[in-house]
This record gives sequence, C-alpha cells and structure tokens, in this order.
Amino acid sequence: MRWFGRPDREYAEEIEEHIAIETHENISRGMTPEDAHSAARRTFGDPLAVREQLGVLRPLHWLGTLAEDIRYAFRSMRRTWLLTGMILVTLTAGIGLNTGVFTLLNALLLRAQVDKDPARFFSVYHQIWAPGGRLAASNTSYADYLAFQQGTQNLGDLAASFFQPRLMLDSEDKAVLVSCNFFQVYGPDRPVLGRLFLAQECATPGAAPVVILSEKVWATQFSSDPGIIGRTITLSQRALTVVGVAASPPGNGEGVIWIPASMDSTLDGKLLQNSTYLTLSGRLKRGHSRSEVESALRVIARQQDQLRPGQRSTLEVTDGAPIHRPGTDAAIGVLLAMGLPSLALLIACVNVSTLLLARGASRQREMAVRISLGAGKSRLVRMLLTESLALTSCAAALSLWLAYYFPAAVTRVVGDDSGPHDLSPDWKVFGYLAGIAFSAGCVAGLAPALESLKVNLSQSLKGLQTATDGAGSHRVRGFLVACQVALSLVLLAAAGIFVHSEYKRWSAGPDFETRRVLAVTVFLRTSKPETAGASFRELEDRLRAGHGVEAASFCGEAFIETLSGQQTDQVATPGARQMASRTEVSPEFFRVLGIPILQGRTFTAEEDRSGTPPVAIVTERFAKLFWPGEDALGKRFSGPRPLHGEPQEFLEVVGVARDSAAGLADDAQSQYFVPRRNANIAGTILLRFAGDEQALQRAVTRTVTASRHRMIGRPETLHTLMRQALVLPRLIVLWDSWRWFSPWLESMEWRPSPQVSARGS
Amino acid sequence: MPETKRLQLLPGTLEMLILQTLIFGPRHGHGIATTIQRTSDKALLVDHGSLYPALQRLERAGLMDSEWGISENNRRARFYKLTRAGRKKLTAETNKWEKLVRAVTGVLTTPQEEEG
Repeated sequence: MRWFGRPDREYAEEIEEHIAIETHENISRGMTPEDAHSAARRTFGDPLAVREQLGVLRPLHWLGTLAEDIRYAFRSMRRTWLLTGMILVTLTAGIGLNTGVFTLLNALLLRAQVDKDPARFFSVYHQIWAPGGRLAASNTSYADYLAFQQGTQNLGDLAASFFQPRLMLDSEDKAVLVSCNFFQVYGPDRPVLGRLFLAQECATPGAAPVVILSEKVWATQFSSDPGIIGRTITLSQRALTVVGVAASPPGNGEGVIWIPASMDSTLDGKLLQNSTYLTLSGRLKRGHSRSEVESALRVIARQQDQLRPGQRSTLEVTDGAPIHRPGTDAAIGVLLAMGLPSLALLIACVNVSTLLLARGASRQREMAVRISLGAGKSRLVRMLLTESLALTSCAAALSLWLAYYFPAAVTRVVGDDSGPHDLSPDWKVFGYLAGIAFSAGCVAGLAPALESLKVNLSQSLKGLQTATDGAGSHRVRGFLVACQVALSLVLLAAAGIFVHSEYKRWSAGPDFETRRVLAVTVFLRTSKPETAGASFRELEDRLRAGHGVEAASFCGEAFIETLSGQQTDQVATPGARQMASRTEVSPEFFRVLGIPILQGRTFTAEEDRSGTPPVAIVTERFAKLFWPGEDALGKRFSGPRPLHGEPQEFLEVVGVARDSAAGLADDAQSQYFVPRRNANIAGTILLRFAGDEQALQRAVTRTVTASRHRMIGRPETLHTLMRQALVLPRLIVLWDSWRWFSPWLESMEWRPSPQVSARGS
Repeated sequence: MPETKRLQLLPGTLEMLILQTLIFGPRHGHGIATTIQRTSDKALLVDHGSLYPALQRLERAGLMDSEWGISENNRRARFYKLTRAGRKKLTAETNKWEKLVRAVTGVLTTPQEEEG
C-alpha cells in the first residue's frame, strides 16, 4: 500500500471519466450534449465533495493538508502583521512566564543536582523512628553508613557527606566531611588540580590530614595559586595538606572545602559513631536499579535496628530530585506555584481569542466561499486551528529565550551569589513548552474558529452580512469578556493577598530582642558528656564577665530551628495530643530575649544544675491548646516518647511565657522550654549586650578559642542569624521567591523540609 | 421504473453488490453502477458519488485491485477486479445474506400463532 494512498489527481481523473461515460450514454439516449453533460453531473453529485471524502479516507492524508494549512497560516500572518504582532506579544508573555517558572522549578526540584550522569545517581532517605512513632532522626549514623556501604558494594558506590555550614573558626567557607568516594558519586570525575581522595584515606580515622578545595576557595583565598598542592592550611587548629582543587559543586555559590569524614575528631573519639548526621547518596553500577539498592539497604537497616532495641528504620531510595524526597509536599507546591502563571496564560489566551474573533468577522466572506465550494466544516476548523497553532508556535519559540534567561534573572534578584546552579532547560522543559503552546493554541483558536463558520452563505457572498450580525457571536464575545474580567479579578485578589501577607510578614518581625543578643554555638571538646553541663556553665560565666555583656543564657540549638518553624515533637496530656517544639534553656533565657513570663516563674538554679524535678515553661499558645480557659500552672504533660528504653518524661508546668513569634513562621509556634540536660555537648550561648557588636564578637571568639572548645561559625546577633536562616540555604531563598507567584503557599505552610536547611547536627 | 419506486440500498450492502458485479470480470466505476441498476431492474438506486468511497474502502481492504485501462467508448478508465480475498469475502457475505433473507422471510410468511 502506498503511504498516502492514490493521489488526488488520479481520483479527479477517474471521476471526470465517469461523468464523460455517463454523458456519452445520455447522448446516445437522444439528449443534446449540454443536457447530457448536466444530467451526468446531476447523477454523480458534487465531484469536489467526493474527492474531499476520498482524501479524508486516504492514510496520512492529513499530513498533506497540514503542510498546506501551515503555508496558508504563515501567509495570512504576513498579511495581518500588526494583529499578528500583538497576538505574539500577548502569547509570548503568557507562555514565556509559564515556561520560565517551570524551568526554575525543574532545575531546582525535578532533577538531582549532580555533575555527572543523573540517570545513575540515587539519594538515600533514612529515617529512624523511636517507639510510639516519633521521628528520631532523618539522617544516618557513621556505623550504619559503614554497614550500608559494605552491603551494597556490588550494586553501586554509596557516599556519605556531612555539610557543616560554618564549621571552621578561621574560614567563612563551608566545610563538608565526605566519604572518600564522594567525587565518584557526585562528580566531577577529574580534579582541576592535584588529585581527588584515595580510598585508603578513609580507611583509618585521623590517618589522612588532607583537604580538597573548591575552585572558588582556591580563587578567593589563594588567588588561584598554581603551587597550592602540597601546601598546609590550618583549619580548626589542625594542619591539613591541600591535595587537590575540584570544580565547585552545583548549587553552591559559597566556597567549599572537602575533608575526609575519617578526619572528624569526634569520630576518632567514637562520640558520633551512633549519632545520626550523615546524608547518603550513591551511584548505581551498570545493570542495577534503584529498587535493588533500596531492598538491599532495607535488609541491612533491619539488621542494624536489631542492634538497638525499640528503634525502627524506614528507608527510601530516589533519583535525587528534591520533589521525590519522601514526606515533602513538593508536588502540590509545584502545582500551586504554576497556578498564577497558568492563570496569566489563560488571560492571554482569552485576549487572543477576542482578537481572532474580530479577525474572523472580517473573513466571513472567505469562509462563505470556501463552504460553497464544498469545503467541509471540520476541514475549515482544522485550517483555522492550524493558524492559531502557528501563532502559538512562534510565541513558544520566542518563549525559549525567556526559559533560558528568566531563572537566572530570578536568582539574581533573590540572591546575588546564586552560584553555578544548573538552571538550563532540558527535555522536560521543552515538552512542557510544546504542551502549553499546543493547549494555548487550541484554547485561543477554537471559539473563533467555530464562530467564523456560522455564516449565512447567500448574504455573506453578496457582502451583506457584517461582523456585528448574529446573536451567537455576541454571546461568544460576551462570554470571553466575562472570562477576562473573572480571571483578572482572581489575579488581582491573589496579588492583594500576597501584598497583604508579605506586608504582615515583613512588618511584624520578631517580638523579642534580636539585635542586642549575640549567639555563639559551641561544640564541647570533651569525651565525658557528664561534665558537659559544668563546662558550659563555666564558659557562660567567662562570657558573662565580658565587656558590655548584660546577661548570658544557654539555649539548645533547637531554638534557632524553631525560629524557622521546624523541629516539633509530639507531647500529650491524658486527654489530648499536640505538636510543640522543645527548647532546652537556662533560667536567664527569658531575660536575655526579653520574653516576659506571664504566670509562674522561670527555672531555679537547682533545676538548671540537676534537671530535676522535671519542670517546663510553656508558651501561651501551648497552654491555650491543652488547657483552654484553665490555669496551666501545676498541670502535667508527657514529653516525646524516649529513645532506647529511657523512661517516659512527665513535666510539670511552672511558668507560662508570652508567645514569641519570630516573624519567620506565620504564627507563634506552640513551644515549651525545659531546663538543659547536662549531657549536652553542643548548644548556643546567648549574650544580651550593650555597646559595640564587633568588639564583643572578637572578645567572644578569643574567649571560646582559649577554652579549647570548638565554636561553630562566628558569633552573630540573632537578627543576623535569622536573616541568614532565610538567605543562606539556596532552596529556602528560591522557594520563598515562588511565593511571589503563589500566596497560597503561605496558607498551606509549605516549607522546605528540615533536612534541607538544618544547620549542622 | 419511476424514480420514487426505487429502493435505497441497505447500509453495508453496496460493498457486497460491487464485489458481485466484478465476479464476471473487471469493470470501471461507471460500469459497476450501471450493472447494479440494470441487474436489479433499476430497483436499486446507486448514488454514483458514494460509489467511489466504497471502491476505495474495498481496495484498501485488499478485496479488489485496480488499474488503468480503455473503456468500451475508447476512453481511459480505471478498472477494478476481484482478488482472491475478495472472492472469499463475497462467498461469505452472500451466505450470510441468504441466511438473513431466509430467516426474515420465514418470520414474515409464518401465519400468526393464536394467543394462549
């Protein structure tokens, strides 16, 4: 069979011959040639309609007519160039905005941020649950990592990393503790200079004092010195030899310094062996799949769970795209973020529809001629739709430019050091672009196409029917205008909600002191956790004696995370349950931050020292949720279910503090405060000060350094930390920017998961 | 026969009639239409226009072949001829048709049974 069937001219010839034979027979019956021919034509019917019918029946006939339609579409676009220009601008704005936002979402959420072959990359999400279904950890311990790595050697490489945002005392750069196969998994494969880590460098803890610098660190701190390899640098009072320089990883504008995980001193002391802090990722060996890795890891996780009674692990392996991270509502977020641009595109389509409708009115004569010549209505609708699709295709081509430049522009506006995040469009973006261009073409073109076929043949041919005739076209125009008004109102309302919520968000700010409070996070260098409380108190006393310091207090690191609305535990009374965040604090905490105790008292020195009896200070919101209309003082509630068979904690409320909305979360969190545990080896000391901030920062740094403890990051005011909590992690910044497009995200309380923005361990 | 007394073809029967007219040899489109009219004593009306889509369908189904030839009036015309598959199909369709006619006739000619 011929692909296109018999050509149309063959049918035309055959039909002509048919009529000729009939004519010949009519003549032999005694008719005049003219009458004979007319009668033959009458008997046959409309040859054009028959040919049309035969054409439709031909396989792939539409390809031929499509080519004709496209040629005709471009000719008519050229004829009405002004209208075409207006339509193109409207559609490009609509399609371009959509594609731009989608490109951004695609780059940040729909693909793994790795340097090489994302198809074989995988991410491991390991969650550890305590008895009672409480999430105990979302990361992996070093001991578990070693077990996982050994058990999956045949399936792929498994790498571990631990991002410490500002681990180093003497460097502003981000230090990442990594397993030695880190670069095999993430890429790049080759160093810019020197070498990457060797497998044996991770074999023995503390055996390889080496470091690899990212290109950015090499450029900013060492002026791209070609002789850097072999030089010794000091980080956290430890001499490390630079063995290589590697390309900066995607998505990190900051400089990165990679250190073998085996070099972490705390690993050396076995302190962190069972702490969960590592993030796992891997690269599949050829011929193996993610599900194989997942089942193998699950078996090992079950074995590891048996070593720790009461613990239960869940484990998921994904392709590393953030949208596939378990427990995130990213898919809903993507849909919501696409909501407003889609609405804008719909308005653009309705606009274009109105313009095409106006053009359709001026083409009624043309349509009348075509119909009277035998063109089928479906054929004409196809022709008109092809015209609008040709328009949207041109707009889509122009939108490609936007797809390339929009995300970069947004990241420039949002954060000036966005780094080499790969924002370029890929096949998903092109597919999306083709999809929305096609839909827009159909949406914008269908109503005008159907409308322009409603012609009164005789009047149109005589030029009597005008564009304003007909109740039908009035109805369509009225409908389109109503659509435009409705959609614009929705957009306007959305913009109003957005402006209102942003105003509230930025104008409110935290209602406790942040500018005059310096926070310094300290990691104790001690192998005896039981002395940790005493060490912290000693350090607090030394810092309190500093010039300009008015008060000092301890605060578990959770408080900082509470500010951004993360870290919650389930607490309960016999009759109710709720989620609340728990913060360990010392008695002066409320005075330092200026949070008034509305009822009851703060902790006593005895409670601070011994942690007994178990007491708590709750926020107003907490009290209102558990004991509405009652006095909360003296009431008891149970804390989160403990890990590893520790006894369940019951707390007595001794005070009610005012809610402390930080301005980052939408509402004040339900919070409760407990006296510090003396076994804490990490925590934040808050210093209320008056006077010069920078001088105090220097003095604090000196004091902590002299105490030999490790300071995480620089001492910063709470104000700065809270700003950084928004600005530092790239994802938070960008996710926040999407709120521009969808204020509903606000009400959905859609936020990045704690894993993304957790500061350190 | 007057035009009004002519019968409209039942749907689906045109293809069977076309195949039947080709059983005695190749014919062109006009020949097929006139043969059907003549052999039905002008009782069956064949719309010449709708003949060609039916011819195209049969050709695409592989039931007939076609080629250009010269008509009895010395004009160029496209001649259609049955293929082996067409013959088989015709036999099957004819059998089916005869069964249907017998069944319908049987129902129509049987005296109505008394109720009860």
